[in-house]
Amino acid sequence: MLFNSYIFLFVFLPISVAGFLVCNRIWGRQSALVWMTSTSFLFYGWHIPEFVVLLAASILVNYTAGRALAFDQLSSPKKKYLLVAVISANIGVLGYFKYANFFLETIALLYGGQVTALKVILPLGISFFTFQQIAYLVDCYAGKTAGRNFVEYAFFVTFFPQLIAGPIVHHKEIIPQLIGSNRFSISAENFAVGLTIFGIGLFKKVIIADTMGALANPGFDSAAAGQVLSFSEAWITTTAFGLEIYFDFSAYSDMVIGIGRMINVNLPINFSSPYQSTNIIDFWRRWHITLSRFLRDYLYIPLGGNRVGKFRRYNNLMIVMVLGGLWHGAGWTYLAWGALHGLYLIINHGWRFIYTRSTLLISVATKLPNSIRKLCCWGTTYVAVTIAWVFFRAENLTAVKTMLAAMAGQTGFQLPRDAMLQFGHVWHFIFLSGIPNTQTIKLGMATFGVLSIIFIVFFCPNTQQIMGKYNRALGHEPVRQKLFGYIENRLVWKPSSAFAIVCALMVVVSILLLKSDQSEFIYFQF
Amino acid sequence: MNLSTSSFRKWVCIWGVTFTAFVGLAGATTEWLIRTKVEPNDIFLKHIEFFRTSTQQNVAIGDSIVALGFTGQKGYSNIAYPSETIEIAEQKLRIYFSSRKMQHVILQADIHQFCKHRVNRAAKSRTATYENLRWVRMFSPVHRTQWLLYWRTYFGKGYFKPKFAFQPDGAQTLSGTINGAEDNPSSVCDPIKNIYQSRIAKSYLAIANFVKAKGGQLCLVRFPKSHERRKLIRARAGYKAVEIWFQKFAREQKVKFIDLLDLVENDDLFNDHDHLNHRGALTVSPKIKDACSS
Repeated sequence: MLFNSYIFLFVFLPISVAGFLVCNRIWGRQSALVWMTSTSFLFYGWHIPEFVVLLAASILVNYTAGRALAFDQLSSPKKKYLLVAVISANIGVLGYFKYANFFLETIALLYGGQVTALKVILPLGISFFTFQQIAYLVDCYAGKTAGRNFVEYAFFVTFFPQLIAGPIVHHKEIIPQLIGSNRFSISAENFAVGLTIFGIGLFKKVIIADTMGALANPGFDSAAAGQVLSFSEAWITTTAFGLEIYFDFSAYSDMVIGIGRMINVNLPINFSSPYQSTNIIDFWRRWHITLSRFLRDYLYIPLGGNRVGKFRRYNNLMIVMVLGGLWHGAGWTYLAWGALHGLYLIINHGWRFIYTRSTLLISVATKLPNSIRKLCCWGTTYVAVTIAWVFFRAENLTAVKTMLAAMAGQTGFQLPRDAMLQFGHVWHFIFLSGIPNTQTIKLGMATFGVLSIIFIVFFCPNTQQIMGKYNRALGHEPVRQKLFGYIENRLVWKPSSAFAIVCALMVVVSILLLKSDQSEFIYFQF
Repeated sequence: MNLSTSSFRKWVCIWGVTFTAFVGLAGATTEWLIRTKVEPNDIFLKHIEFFRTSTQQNVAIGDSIVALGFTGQKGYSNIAYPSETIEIAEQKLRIYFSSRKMQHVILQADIHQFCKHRVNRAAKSRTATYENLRWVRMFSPVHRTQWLLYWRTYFGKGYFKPKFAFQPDGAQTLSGTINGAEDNPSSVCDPIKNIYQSRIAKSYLAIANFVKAKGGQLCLVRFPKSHERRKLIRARAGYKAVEIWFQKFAREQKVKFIDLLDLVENDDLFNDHDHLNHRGALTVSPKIKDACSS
């Protein structure tokens, strides 16, 4: 079930939230948790009910193992064997559903021959709930958590807003919030704030992300079909995809936090204006924050982190990013995307190392005005991230090559048609000389649309900033300097009638513009 | 400002009232617009209605070339619709002849059917579109994605005017002329290279098999083009290969392939370089019918 569907907005969400609050009021906290867990299973099994069995089995096995690891009935070596066995089982299930065909294809590629693809359908959200439960098991083993009761555990894993596309919530963040007799009493403040955040997310998804998707898809489809794209088409296509995934993920994160807040559950922030980052390290602190946290705590640090010398550290970074790439999808393009980001991070850390030791670089940098320095850093980061999106979005490595060749200007610097009409033949003479216009997308309008959205990304406050002091997303830190203090102050949310009307109208407009063939959130496929 | 709980309750109430009022208002007015302004002028709905109620056993099908170019022939229905691919034509034929007997099927055999943009276009099933309209019209598949467009048109123009004249036999005709306009080379597309394994080729074969199975006769027709367009087409690489494919396909499937590309010498019979106007359609259609049924 999609958040941007009529059935979810008009039936599932109101019934599940109202039912939760009513259950809590009449029968108490435990029954409310049972209600929400049940509706979450319904949400999960909406399209393929069989996967409910997989989810339930996964919860049952991991909960039982967690209890055994948390208490002292087993000896230390036995606990270690159990931990290894259960984590292997989790990874095995994930590997089978997500990577089996990729593995077979790779074997066929390496050794030649044909393979018959397994008929495997990837269960929704398997990457998310597997990682969540692995973290729980590791912490049980390390004595960092005691196994809670089953209903709380099941709620933590299945809570529907975060079940399919994250954030990868940590048991320490959720389970303590489920305790307390008045924990889920109806709170008008939380409901109003949650409704607003949810509405902002819906608006971002329907109005911005889907529009950008419509601009990006034809270009990538053309590249996949082997068609030639011009320089401007390729850049607009890629930039549009960068904005699509940005707003898609941002929208989903907002909607998740909003739904949680409606029932008094604060979920962790997962997205914090990542395109405003001035280096790639900062980007990964703002993009998919909970995945970065998981990979840091449960992979990078166990590998030795940055305590094992420069070479090993960079090696660890690369391993983490390649696995992070593969976590997003089983394919060479995802692997390449992860490796490219690994390389970016290594360069970033290397640059920092050199920069802090070079008096020449420091003296040059300090001579530059702060704004110019920032602009250079931001520009480099943004372009690097945008180029990496080509690997993430393209159908295959051939399409990646086609797109990158066009972005490098190898197919000519065709200007948008509208710009050509504006500037006449001089531009044609300078930039083109006989390169075909593929007419894949209406470039003039697309350029305008993309630039408008880039303006929003950089100059408008994000959801956390709009919600101001009412924002209680876990881990939220104000990370951005105010550019237009006056405007931003006006945009900060207040429980006023004007905001109520504007927020309601945003939801109305989003609902009216929902497509009948709703586009799913990009992160649903992971 | 009072930030007490009651203030938040008030906020939620205002939100609820605004939401309900605007969703209700938007829904009611959109329904009104669809029922009173859109549907009476919607060619697509007329086409659907015609498609559903036509009783003819002879049909012509394809995209706008056929929709505009074949009319006025007794015993024939024109069930073509602009921009529809051969894959959609296949689906439509299956739906149409699921409850009717079949005699002659005139199927468009123009080379642009194999152009990249056509091949790449998703062959989404239009079956849902041909389902009955729902009681609440705005939730019908045919309308659901168009709400904003309807309002934009209504506020922009103030009225809905059909683009084509809908004829009693299902044809959609235009009465314009080329008026000596220059042909635009970029509007001639390039066919794909891999014709034989393409989805379009498979659809042509599926149609041929379907027509055979229903006891009908299939007739592939390449419709006429203007002088300028013919020159452009012939200068284009890749067109000969598709022409050969059609000839080979017709031979193998034992169906007729009527090539009328050069039939019309008088450019006044064209609405534009690709499409016949109403007069042109009335002139050409009897020749198509005769060639196919001889």
